[in-house]
Amino acid sequence: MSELPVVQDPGSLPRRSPLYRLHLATGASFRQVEDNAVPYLMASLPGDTATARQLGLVDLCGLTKTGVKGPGAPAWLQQKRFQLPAEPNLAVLQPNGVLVARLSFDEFLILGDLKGQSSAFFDPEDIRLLDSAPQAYLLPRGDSHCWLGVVGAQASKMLVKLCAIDLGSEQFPDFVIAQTIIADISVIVIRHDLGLTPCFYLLADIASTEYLWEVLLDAMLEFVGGGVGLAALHTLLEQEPVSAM
Amino acid sequence: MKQLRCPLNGLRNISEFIYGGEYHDVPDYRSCSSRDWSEHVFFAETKAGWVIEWWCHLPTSYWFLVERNTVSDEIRRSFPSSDLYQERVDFSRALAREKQSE
Repeated sequence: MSELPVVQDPGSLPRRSPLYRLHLATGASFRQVEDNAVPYLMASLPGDTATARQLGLVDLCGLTKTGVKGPGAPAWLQQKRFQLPAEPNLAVLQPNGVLVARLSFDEFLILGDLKGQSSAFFDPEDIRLLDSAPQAYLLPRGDSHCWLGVVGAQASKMLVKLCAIDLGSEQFPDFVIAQTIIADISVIVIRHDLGLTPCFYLLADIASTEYLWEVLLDAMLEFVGGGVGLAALHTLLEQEPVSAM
Repeated sequence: MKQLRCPLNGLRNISEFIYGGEYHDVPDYRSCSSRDWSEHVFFAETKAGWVIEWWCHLPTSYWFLVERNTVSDEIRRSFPSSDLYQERVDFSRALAREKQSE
């Protein structure tokens, strides 16, 4: 099991997902990542994992994320020993599990690892020096975007209902990004399979979090999918280790 | 549904884009007349035939240019604005420099 601290009352932590009241109402349990309460289990671990293998929706808003933008951003990130995608709309998994997504030639989105262990991306001194870096600046993403995960064998079939992009494995392999429209709102879609289980990260305007969660759950009904906690993703990662990690 | 090729994101449904008006060469604001500048800002040529237009891919807020035939709706090419603009036009700094030199 995860070493993340158990959270009895998510309201006691400084930061929570916009969906935490919904999760509480469905009996979810929470763990702490940094100063965030993250929904860890929706039901039991075997139940969540079985759902995640077929089709699960997970709220990852509590995991850390940030961004760096500007013509000088690639050079600055490489100086900080990040491996960068060569082209826009591709992502690269770092050795510590952090995902670096290149949204354009000079804009990068950085997503913390699913274990919540590599959430400090930069030293405070790095951030201070970034102010004087040539044409590169920090683009905080913690409160601008929600981060949901659609996981499971049926994930791409379900997303066909809501998205015009073909997200099947052949057209949309691991670490490819589509910045597109899902259910009438702008969404960044990043494919990050958990071993053999397909997984898509969806990042949208944080004000649309509840709408997107409800729409996705509704679209999942015919596939008997449902909400799962972060623990199910940990189990999939542990049982099916990714060779690139 | 109609589709348009975005230079950054590839072929996408037209519902992901918004039209941004005709592309015109920007007159030199330091030497052009007020009438020329007003025409540039407020008037459109609405030409029938091949024109260059501004389009924006909404999910990425990415502005680019499209060469389109307004009669047949045929699209010849789409290309990034960096093909035409190599550097940012900074009016405030240029005007400040002019004031200093006066």
